[in-house]
Amino acid sequence: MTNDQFDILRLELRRGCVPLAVLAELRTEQYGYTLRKALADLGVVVDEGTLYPLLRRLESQGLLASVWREEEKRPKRYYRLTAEGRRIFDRLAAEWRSLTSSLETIFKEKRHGSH
Amino acid sequence: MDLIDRYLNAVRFWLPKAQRRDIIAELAADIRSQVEDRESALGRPLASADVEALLKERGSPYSVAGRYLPQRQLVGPALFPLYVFVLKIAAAVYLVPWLLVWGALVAFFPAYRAAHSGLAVFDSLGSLWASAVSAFALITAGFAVAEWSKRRSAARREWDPRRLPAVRDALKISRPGSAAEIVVDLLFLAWWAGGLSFPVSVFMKGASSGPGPVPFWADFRAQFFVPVILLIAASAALSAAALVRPYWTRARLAIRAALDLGFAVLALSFLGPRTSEVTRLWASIRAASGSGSPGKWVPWLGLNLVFVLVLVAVICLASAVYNLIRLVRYDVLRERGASL
Repeated sequence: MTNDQFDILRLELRRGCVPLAVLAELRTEQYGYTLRKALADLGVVVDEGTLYPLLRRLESQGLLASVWREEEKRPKRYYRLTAEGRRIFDRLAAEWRSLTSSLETIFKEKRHGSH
Repeated sequence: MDLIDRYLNAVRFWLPKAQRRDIIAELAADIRSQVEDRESALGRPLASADVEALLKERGSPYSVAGRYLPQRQLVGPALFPLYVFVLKIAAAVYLVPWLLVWGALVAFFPAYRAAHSGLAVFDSLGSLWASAVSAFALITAGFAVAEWSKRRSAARREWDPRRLPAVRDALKISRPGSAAEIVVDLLFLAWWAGGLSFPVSVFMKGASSGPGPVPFWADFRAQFFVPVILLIAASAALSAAALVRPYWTRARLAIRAALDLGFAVLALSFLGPRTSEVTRLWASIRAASGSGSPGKWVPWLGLNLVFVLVLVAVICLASAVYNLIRLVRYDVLRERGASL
């Protein structure tokens, strides 16, 4: 498999995790730039072209709420999870744990099967 | 900062009006925060080249704005394969035969070239181009409407697996198809032998009962009376055999290809030596244009016969090639059919 093919598959794999990571981070209020940096520091790199439209979509779905606030003489938009967002996040996190546990089982089975 | 303002302005242009202010304010805050971060990391203000690199990293204004827009498509991925299939069918049943007939007229009929001298020979291609563009636009518009209504109707998810088409064995012959071929062949034989009357035969009876005899027609019938009867009878016999055992064998494919070639050769060998007569027909049509006399239809009917014969030749040649390909790939097709 070429590096390009690997990159495409890796991108697809990570893309589905971004909303979950964003919801998790926004359990505490943050504005876009610090959110992006926090995610990158934790190993989830999201470019701004993906992050801001995603924040808008999650807000329009009622999972996030935002407020403009002046900070260091500059208006910044702060996001946080709503009550509905929190419920959805808890369910998605449970789903994630179940999925990773299933995948781990599959990986182990294949490892044993190949011996 | 001038570069950043220009960048933001360019992004603003592509955004929906209602969200412009909001999105640009947030994007501006993000870019300026990033600039401040870089400046504190470098310990100096950013040079113009640094800002340029930073903006390039973010992507072109058009692509940045595009990510804020809703996903829109004229024909979505669900309908796209069907859309391509319909376009291919339109090309196969209309454009390709049209081009083949035009190519045959240009290549084998000096009369056609004489009547369309110089660049005029490409005039017909102009009308084909117009028809092709119209067909493409109509099909695309139809699918765009289907896509729109599909998005609006969740009920479209309903489908019945029992209505899926059966997988076809490429070497199996349809019995109803064979029966239909026999009926058509017999009707044609009866008509050709003079037992049935068709509209064309009205014109053959002469000026007393119609506008006059169709040029070539009597000639064609007289010259190929027996060969046509033999070819049609052989074709009907082949279809009759297919009714009994509805499966293509190597021998049947070879006979079908030979019959197709026979029809094509017959049509072309009749028209080949008559190019000067076809030229006269073109000339008489031009001369008669605008006159209301019934006689002006006679050359048209003659030319239509020419077109029909060319079309028959093209279709028969295509069918012969198709059957020869099946003959060459016979083992592959039989193996595929056996696995069904």
